[in-house]
Amino acid sequence: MPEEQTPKPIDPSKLSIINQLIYQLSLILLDLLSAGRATADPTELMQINNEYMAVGTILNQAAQAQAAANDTLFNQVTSTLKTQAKMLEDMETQIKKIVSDVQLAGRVTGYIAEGITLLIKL
Amino acid sequence: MRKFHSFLVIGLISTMLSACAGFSRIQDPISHFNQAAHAASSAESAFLNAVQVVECEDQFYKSAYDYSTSSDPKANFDLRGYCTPIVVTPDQITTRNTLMSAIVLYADKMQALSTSDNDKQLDANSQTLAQNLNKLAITGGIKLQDPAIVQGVEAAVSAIAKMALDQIIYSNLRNAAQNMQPYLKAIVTALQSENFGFGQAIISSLGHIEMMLRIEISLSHQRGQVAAADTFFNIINARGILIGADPVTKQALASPANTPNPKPVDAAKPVNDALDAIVTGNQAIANTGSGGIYAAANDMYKRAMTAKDIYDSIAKAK
Repeated sequence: MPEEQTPKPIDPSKLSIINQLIYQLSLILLDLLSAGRATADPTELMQINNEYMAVGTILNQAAQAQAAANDTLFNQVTSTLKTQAKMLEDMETQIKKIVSDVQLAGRVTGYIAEGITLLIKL
Repeated sequence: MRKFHSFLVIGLISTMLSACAGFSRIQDPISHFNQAAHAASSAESAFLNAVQVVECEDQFYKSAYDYSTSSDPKANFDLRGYCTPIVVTPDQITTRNTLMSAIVLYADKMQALSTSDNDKQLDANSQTLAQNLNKLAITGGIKLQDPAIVQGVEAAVSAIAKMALDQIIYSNLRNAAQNMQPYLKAIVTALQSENFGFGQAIISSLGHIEMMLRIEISLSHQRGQVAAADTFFNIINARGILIGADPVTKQALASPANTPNPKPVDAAKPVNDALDAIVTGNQAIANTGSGGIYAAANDMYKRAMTAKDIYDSIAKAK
């Protein structure tokens, strides 16, 4: 019977990045919700909702990584997270198109840029 | 000589009486501390349950939303609300509840130590729990994210379990509280470090539910599918769903849209405050008199019950 391998330790600096990422993603969601509250146009709302869902999925993955029990599971979740950087890049352009409040859109894209920087560090 | 004997007897009696009075003075505040520790354990459990309940609710609303906005004639919907939680799994909840069991066990043992009974052992159930916790800790059965934290937590659970089974080493309450303080802190830190992320997952799901409700109302209104009065009641119903689901962020719901530099609402704050209060309460046992312990234990109880009520109401709203 093969011996069970002891899980390798998780890099604490990566956990800190995950925590920062969760905060950053929460800021994006907060502003997207504000953008959603500012319109009753269903098309615009649906577009904002799509972006909201995408960011919410990344946030859930980040929270999942935080609770991961060992390095193997943590790496699985973080490698999934890393693939989301490209999606966030595309989102920057999309947000500018769908959020009519220029100032709010600018702030969201700023948060997204910081989120991408954190994802790259993982 | 006879007079001396009388003084000696009176002295002995008064020493014994003051010792008994000491026990009763400490027994009551320790009992409050114990009650508060049980409440804090329930609060953490209610919080983790709320994380799962809100995520599952979000998944249910999403499936209903997908069906309502789909043009696919084969699209289907689900009324059961069957859910596979992702953010925190049932196994992960069990591990965290185990950590809170260790804290409760510690508080039970402190209460046993504070009594004037000769037998300061815990009951059979608590002793079995202590043995199981110790076994879990020494066999690496506590699965958390950070190995540095896990080591501290394993040591903490093991130390608490040993203390619970021992009645010789910790005969003095103050010493016990001082010795166990770093271990309690290790468990509290481990739980708090991830609660913020779990709390943000709650907020994210609640925001998503709000977004879907807005879309459905605006769609039916724009397409003229419902009468104006029905739109009015749709809005009122949607607000009722949100307020019922969202006791943590009611304030956020009431706040104006797009405030300058908003900060994320910390949905984990009530439970993290209750966890902090455990450490403060134990510090009071280590350092202060019964009055200080009363105050700390009452604060701990109040925070724990507030947190529990908030998270329970999230689950009940579903």
